[in-house]
Amino acid sequence: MSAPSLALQSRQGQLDFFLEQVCFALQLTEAQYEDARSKYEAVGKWLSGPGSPLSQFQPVIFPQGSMRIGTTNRPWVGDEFDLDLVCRLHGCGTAHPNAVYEAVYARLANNGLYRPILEKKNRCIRLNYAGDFHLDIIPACPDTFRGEPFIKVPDREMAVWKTSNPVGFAEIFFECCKRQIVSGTEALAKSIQPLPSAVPSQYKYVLQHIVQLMKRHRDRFFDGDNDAARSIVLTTLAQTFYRGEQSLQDGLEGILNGIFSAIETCHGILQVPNPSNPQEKFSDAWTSESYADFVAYIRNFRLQLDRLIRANGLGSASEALGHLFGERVASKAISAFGTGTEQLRKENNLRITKAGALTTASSGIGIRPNNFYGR
Amino acid sequence: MKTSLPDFACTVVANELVCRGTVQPTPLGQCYRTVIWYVGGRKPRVFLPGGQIRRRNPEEPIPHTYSDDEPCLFFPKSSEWKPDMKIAASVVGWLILWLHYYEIWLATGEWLGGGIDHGERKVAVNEQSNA
Repeated sequence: MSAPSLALQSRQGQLDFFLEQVCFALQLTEAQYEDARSKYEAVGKWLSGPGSPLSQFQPVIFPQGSMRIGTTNRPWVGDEFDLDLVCRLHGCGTAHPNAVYEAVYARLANNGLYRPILEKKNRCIRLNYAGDFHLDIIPACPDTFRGEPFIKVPDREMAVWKTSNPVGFAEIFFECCKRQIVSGTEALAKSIQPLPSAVPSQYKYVLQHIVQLMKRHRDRFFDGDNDAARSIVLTTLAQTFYRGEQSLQDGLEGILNGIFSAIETCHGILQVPNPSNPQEKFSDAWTSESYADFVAYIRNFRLQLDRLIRANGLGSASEALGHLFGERVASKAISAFGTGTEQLRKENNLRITKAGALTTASSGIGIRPNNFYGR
Repeated sequence: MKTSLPDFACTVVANELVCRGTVQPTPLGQCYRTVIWYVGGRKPRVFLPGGQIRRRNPEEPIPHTYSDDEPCLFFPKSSEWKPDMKIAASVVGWLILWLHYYEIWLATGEWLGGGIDHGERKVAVNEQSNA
């Protein structure tokens, strides 16, 4: 975790402090997390518990996507945040995909609480809760051809199975984080795997924070546009170009430069294979228009990050942070720095250097206690 | 002063000390040209000449200032400042702190450095550290 004392040592230290504070502000609140967790567990019990016709298929419920890899952000203005839940049934691989989909749908529709908020989507069943949250339930069967942990997911409109590997995706992501797995996330219940704990922001990996930052700038840049770059594409690109930097600024810069030069050197649309299922190309979903928008987003991100890196004064740093991630989180990040340094001052740990800067180094000149006065 | 802050240029004429130097509170902070003026027997004064600091809007004065180029660094009615104190450890340190909180105020509208408003007589925020 970046402390205010480190932030006083270098421009990079101070930028890392601000970027980390932005991530703090993006983190789901405890209440939002708990609400999602209780809904996840309740749906899991309904699908897999006694009395469920699905129980003969030994359902296993597990999270996928951002909640699994710890990169969920608070929803952007007007958006909802979602939790993707996989309901993997056994012995259903030879069934028709739509029959499996309908079986899961029927079980959910059999519950008076869920029936009014159910919505059929192409590959999942959505529960639209009041407020700003929805739960996407993805029916699945094991992919016996590819073996564990691959699954098959029904594509309802095309009436075919699609291969997916959310567990493998998360494993590769955490390998890329280059740190040890946070304890507590590996414990597995028999049929409902727990939602990964709400890891406090300060214990997250640098790469997790970078993905959060990339998603937030995406939300700000596209502002609700349906053609916005998908989170899974951003996550994949981030992990592809991440080199294990421990500085958020360095890591983010390296990733953006990596993406940018890949865009410059590729012919046509940049290929983004799914790392956990290389036959699948996430980039296939891009049209020439949506790809052009993605390139503009990366270009703007790089430009705004440059402005932040070259900021002269906390005012211009705040402005650059605001352009990148929103004014409210920018202001929170700058305030956190003020609160942190004020704490150091109260503890008599703030001094000045010979060059006229604040420091916590013991070689600095101590500052006498004072009270600012005046209007 | 020369040993503590070698980049400050000071002149002494009779009982008047004038020091000029540049400070940068934090690595991303701005550089500020400062002038410290001290006449023996009076309180030291500090100036930020040339419109280096500014209001967030015309109606809202910069917190803890005497004017738009002179911050109020200490509570004059207490003994926070004493003539036997080193300028670097007192006035210059306070000025750098003040500039740091000024920059945060400019960015967010919040003054986080504590202090006493005109009219207040009680030392509130930093009472403990002054004890």
